[in-house]
Amino acid sequence: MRLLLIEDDTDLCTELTNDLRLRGYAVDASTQGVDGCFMGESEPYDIVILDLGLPDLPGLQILQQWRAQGINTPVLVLTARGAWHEKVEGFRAGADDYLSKPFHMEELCVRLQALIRRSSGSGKAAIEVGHLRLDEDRQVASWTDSVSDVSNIELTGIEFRLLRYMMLHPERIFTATHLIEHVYDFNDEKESNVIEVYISRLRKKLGKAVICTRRSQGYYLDPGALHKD
Amino acid sequence: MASLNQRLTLSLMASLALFFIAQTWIIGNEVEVLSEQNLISRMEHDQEELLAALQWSPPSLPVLDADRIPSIYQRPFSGHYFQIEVADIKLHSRSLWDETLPELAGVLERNVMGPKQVHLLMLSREFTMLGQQVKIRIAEDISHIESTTASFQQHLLLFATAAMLLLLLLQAWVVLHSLKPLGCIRDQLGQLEKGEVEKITTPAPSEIMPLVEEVNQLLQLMQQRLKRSRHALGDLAHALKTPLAVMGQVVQRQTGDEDQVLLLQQLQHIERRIELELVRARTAGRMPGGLWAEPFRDLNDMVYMLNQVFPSIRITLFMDETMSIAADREDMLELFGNLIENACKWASSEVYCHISCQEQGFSIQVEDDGPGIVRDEYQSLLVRGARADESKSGHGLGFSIVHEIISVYDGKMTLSRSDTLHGLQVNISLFQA
Repeated sequence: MRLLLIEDDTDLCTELTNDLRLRGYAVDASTQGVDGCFMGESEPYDIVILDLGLPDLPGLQILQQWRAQGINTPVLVLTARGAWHEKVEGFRAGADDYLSKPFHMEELCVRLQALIRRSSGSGKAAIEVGHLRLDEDRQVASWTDSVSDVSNIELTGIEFRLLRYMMLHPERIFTATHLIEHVYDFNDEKESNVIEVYISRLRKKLGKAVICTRRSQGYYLDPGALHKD
Repeated sequence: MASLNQRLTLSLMASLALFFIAQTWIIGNEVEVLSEQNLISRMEHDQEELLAALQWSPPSLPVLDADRIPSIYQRPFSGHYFQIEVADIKLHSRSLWDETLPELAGVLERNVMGPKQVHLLMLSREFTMLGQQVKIRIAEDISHIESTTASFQQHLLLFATAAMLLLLLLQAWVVLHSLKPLGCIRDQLGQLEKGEVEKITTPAPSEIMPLVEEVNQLLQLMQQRLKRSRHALGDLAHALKTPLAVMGQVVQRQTGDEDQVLLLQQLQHIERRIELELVRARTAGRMPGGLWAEPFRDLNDMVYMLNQVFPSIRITLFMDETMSIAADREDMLELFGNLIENACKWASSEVYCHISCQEQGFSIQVEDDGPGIVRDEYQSLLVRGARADESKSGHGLGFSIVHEIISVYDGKMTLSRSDTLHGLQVNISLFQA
């Protein structure tokens, strides 16, 4: 999940970035409204955390600008003022959720997960495709059918990010470049064959049929393979 | 203090009445005096005429030259009489027939009873003729003059009364008309109180224009101050809460020991305190010109927004879509936001929010289908709402904020168990100006 964080306070920005990275998000952070606004326009983010009280460019204005350009990335608004009229105005400008500062990290994560699931069209409380369930807090996958002997499948950071992205959009075909964009942040070192490597690792852990390759187009998650009998 | 209209009308009425009474009285009197004087002067002429007609050359008896006596004295009971006494001889007019004129003490007597029971005005004058006293008494019937004067006075009184009534009506209209701008301004002040207008726009007469301008200026100043202080409070909140958020992050990262728990607790105290004080400072309260124009649109958006945060809870609004509320919009959004969010936190699937206009204000009921609280705790929750530093999480902070706003608006809040949803029901009534 590629996440954009726009927060003017450097300390909070660093704290949040580190914490969110640990929780499996590819985070790009900006402490400037103008830069953040540009990043939101040019990179394919899956979710944005936007502080409303930016000194150079008001958060609401950034939001309105994005929505006017047809950028529909879900946005969680952070406000320090905590006034309800601001929250309502934030929603009118196109925000999808709000959180008042100071907040608990757990609460932020719950809201982010809910927002991501909602935007991918899933109303469920956890990410589940067929018998495969992904635990976002512990970053492990597990089989829900009792037949399988391996209940918990440990995942590395990138594996988790990749699997989550594909499970949120089952059956959709993604190119390796697209997957890189949504799994790595802007500053990460990216090698050309890195996705191939991680896909083959996931196949080893989950079974070959789960992630399919379509020649010269990309990869997709096959839900049919997860409905084991 | 009596109204200007009343005072003006009363004083004008009194002065008018006084003027007309004095005028009628003076003119009536003057007419009486004038006609009497007229009469007297003619009678005096007649006296002199009679004296000239008196021919007396002693030792013969005095006689009157009949040709020189005005003929009116010759006709019996004509109302014009004379009686001449000269050297014990009495001569009297033919008109007196056999009657005599009564004796007269002074020179002039009014209301002497004469022949045929008529009122006479009598003049008596003494002349000296050939060393003898000649006393000429002359009398005239004044009933006719009296009646004409009385009828004139009556007419005068009638006219005066009619004129006074007419003038009173005119004055009432003038007063009403000149006080009209004041009435308009009063109406606008009422509208201002209800929030229908933002300032007084009616053109005012120059006498009260400074007052109107002053009021407008004060209103503008108040609105500007509110805006400025809200802005400053927002900045303060931002400046305080962001470091608090960082501190919270850092503390949470520490390995759990007693210090961490204590620190987290203290941080929470600070957060609550700041939140409550900021809300208190931000609340505008009942201010002239404050109007929440579209409560339905705002609340609808708020409900939609809360639905995103609490997807499993259905929030239903029961309100008139066209209603508007004379209160500050930000205050009211704060109130409803906290009320509905609180209800959502405790509800299991349903939250109802009723808003209805009443005679003197409007009432709000927010109910949920959560566990509710027992009756004994109602009071403590309301009291805890007032004492922020001791309240705990959950209903606490939201209620403290709601309580704070309601007290600024002189409203009332009670808690009960919902009849329809069986959870907690919060009843609030706010009075409008």
